Amino acid sequence: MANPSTSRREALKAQQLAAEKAARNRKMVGLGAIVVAVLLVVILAVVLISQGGKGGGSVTPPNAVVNSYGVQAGTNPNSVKDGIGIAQDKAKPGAPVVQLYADYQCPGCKAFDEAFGVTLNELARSGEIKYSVQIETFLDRLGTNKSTNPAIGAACADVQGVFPEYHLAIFKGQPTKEGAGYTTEQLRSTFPAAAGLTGEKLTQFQSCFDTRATATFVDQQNKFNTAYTTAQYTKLGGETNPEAKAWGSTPLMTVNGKRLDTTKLDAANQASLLEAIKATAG
Amino acid sequence: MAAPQRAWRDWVGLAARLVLGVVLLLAGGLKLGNLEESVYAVRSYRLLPYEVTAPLGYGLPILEVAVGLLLIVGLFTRVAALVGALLMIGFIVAIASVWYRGISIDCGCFGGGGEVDAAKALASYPWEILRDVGLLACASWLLIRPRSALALEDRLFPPVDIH
Repeated sequence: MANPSTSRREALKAQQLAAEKAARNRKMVGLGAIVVAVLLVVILAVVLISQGGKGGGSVTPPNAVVNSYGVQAGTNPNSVKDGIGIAQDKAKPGAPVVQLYADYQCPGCKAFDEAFGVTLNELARSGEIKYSVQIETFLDRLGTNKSTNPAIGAACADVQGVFPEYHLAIFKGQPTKEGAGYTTEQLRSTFPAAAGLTGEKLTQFQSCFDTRATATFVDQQNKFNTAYTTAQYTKLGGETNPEAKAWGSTPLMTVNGKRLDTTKLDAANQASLLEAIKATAG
Repeated sequence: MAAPQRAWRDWVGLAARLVLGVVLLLAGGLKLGNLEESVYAVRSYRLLPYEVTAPLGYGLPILEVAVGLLLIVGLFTRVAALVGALLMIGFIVAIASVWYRGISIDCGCFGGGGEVDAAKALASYPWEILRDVGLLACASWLLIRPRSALALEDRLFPPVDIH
């Protein structure tokens, strides 16, 4: 038989229990919200700090060009400038589009550039090829800007109209020990001097380099060139296919979007380069 | 009321929390000092679009540290275990995928990352996957039975149904 006073006590107890549970839930939700909020703030702060550390301006070098093959491949849908052209205005109609993908820290790129860099510049200036250099900085891991710094210098050199010369000077001065990195002295003084910069132009170059004025362009360049070559690498089947592997490595030379095997070229026979370019262009 | 005898399962729960928590804390902590390297490690898997790799590379270590700390102190164990389990599933899938595609990288699990010698990579993939399966087992235990010994949440939010 139900005892009214017992049931009232029970109801009271149940009420108390519900209130305590609600209080416990509020406490849990409150603390949970604090944990999530702290986490979000930390992530946001870290991302902002790491972005800020890179710094740099958004000066685009005057001879910057768009790799139309990347646009076609969908890896650069908004046609962002991702390379530096050399004397492209001189290119004859229908001249083969030659692109060199390189990282300033890559020893293979130095070897190739020392063998054919000068000839490529000459072919571009005589209008035989429509030439651009597509710099990647993928060898960089943070802390280090060892690929990015010379790329920033190269883009600043283009502002002064001496990109081809500065580019050659970088590879010529590449440290023999891979990964040692270029010194600021090299990038700021030695290479611009080798490229023929003096006086006012040198001062302008150095101010561009010191403020990392071309950093945004360099970052874009790396992003879209890496995206394009990686897309080709993946499309061709990845690591198991030597052709795909070549697309994933530097130096990489393409002619009208097709890869030219630079390892088959003979540096002793400079004329072989244009022949190989024409053969690849078809 | 006398303290109730701890069930042995509570101690298993504590062990699972500590193993998973300490590994996550270490993995995240070692990467925090070099977040660009972490981004680079994410990229070396060649799995995700470029735009996604930077936020993931920055975010993962912080998430790992946070989840690791929650597990070690025993706060929001079930939610932390859920995140831990999802992370482990993601890591297992990512490592299996590079293994399958013949890409030779350092997993970047505790910092580092990037391409390595093929023989070295092939030798380590099975162990990395095995380790992550073990950690997934810890996470799964806590997901199913989050109650464990010496958990902070028991102090902060004592169960109200015992009077």
